[in-house]
Amino acid sequence: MLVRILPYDGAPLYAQIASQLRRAITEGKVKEGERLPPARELAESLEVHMHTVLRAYDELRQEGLLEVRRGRGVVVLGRGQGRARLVELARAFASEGARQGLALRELRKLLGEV
Amino acid sequence: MSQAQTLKWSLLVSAGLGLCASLLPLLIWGQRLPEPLATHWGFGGAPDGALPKAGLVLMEAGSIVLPLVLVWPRKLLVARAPVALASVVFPSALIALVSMSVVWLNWDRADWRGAGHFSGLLIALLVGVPFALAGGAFAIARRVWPSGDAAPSAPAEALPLAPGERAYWSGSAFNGWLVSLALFVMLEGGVLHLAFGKTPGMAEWNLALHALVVLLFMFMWKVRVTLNERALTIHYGLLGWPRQRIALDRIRSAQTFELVPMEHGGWGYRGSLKLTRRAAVVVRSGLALRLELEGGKRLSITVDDAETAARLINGFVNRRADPPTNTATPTAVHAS
Repeated sequence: MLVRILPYDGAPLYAQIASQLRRAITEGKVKEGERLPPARELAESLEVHMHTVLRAYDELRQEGLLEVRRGRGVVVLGRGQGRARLVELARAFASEGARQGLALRELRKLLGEV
Repeated sequence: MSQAQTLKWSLLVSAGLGLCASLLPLLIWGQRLPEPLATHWGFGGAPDGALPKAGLVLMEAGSIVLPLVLVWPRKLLVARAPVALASVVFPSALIALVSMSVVWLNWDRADWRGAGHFSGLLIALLVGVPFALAGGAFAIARRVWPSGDAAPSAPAEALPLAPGERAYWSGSAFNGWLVSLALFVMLEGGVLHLAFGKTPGMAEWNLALHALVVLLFMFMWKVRVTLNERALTIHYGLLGWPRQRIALDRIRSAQTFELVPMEHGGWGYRGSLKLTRRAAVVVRSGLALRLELEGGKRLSITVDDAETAARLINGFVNRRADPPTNTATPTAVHAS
């Protein structure tokens, strides 16, 4: 599993980490039931604060990609791979909508129509 | 003579010498030996089993010819030459010594029950000499046929890294077979404990040895490798401990290759970076990462997704050697 971040790139570090992890899950680099590295290890390697990594993990957990298990660490969920793909597509959809100046309500309506 | 031919001749000569040394004494001095011959000795050293001469001759010939047939070079064999040669030399030497011991202990006896006793010295000889010869053959073959080592292949393409970019990679390798093997060893330890548990001294040795083997297996069930700009770290076993850290400035380049455990002497941590300058962390066969270290040392690690690791290492190495600048500097380009 590869995680690359570019500080001072504009996007917040936690978002960069989350997006890299999401990609690793979509591409099957981390599979169902596998553990993500301990937050401390990832934070030390990327020279970021541990809370930054935890925030990225939390974001993915809220998206339903991961589960935090006591004593077992952070585990990738079975539906993670398909789910990560959906989240990626939704993000692309939302950013394209924003670029075209559509409000969230209009985007929702569009989704309902298809 | 091609490499494969020299290897074939070496195998044939080793097996031939073994056959001669094993069978000739039996055939030449057959009349001075009892029929059947004492061929098995009990714990006290007294003979407790016999075989007719013809049976012994067949068994000895089979024990030497079978390994020869098994390792006989077909295609790829030069890479496995040391293992092949050692697997022929070992049984040849062992059978020859066993045969000579049998002749010596049965010499001029009327009946096999009167054969001489087996001594501890003889056992030491029977174990030590074949191991020494096979080890020697292995070492010589390694020099003569430098195996897949000699074939240099290109380092993996470097991952381009922007200035200031930080990266982390982790991968692992797992071997389910080793888990089954560890369970088997535990079972064996249990059975032996039932059999010898009451023999003083035996029980402790049995438990200690089996616990040690299971512990070694536990370290090699799984490895996890993590990588950042400062170091590559190998985490052994399910606990991720012990760890081995290789600072990135010791690494010259990285590449991937298909690892065949037998070419590295089997599974586990093979070789030594300090002594032989070659080491391999072998958990399974297949995709592996190879690190060329400073001082001509080489470390191979079986790990999934090794391709990404090799590319990232080379990316780090390139950026260190040639820090990216804003102005493009002209460099000499050699067309290959």
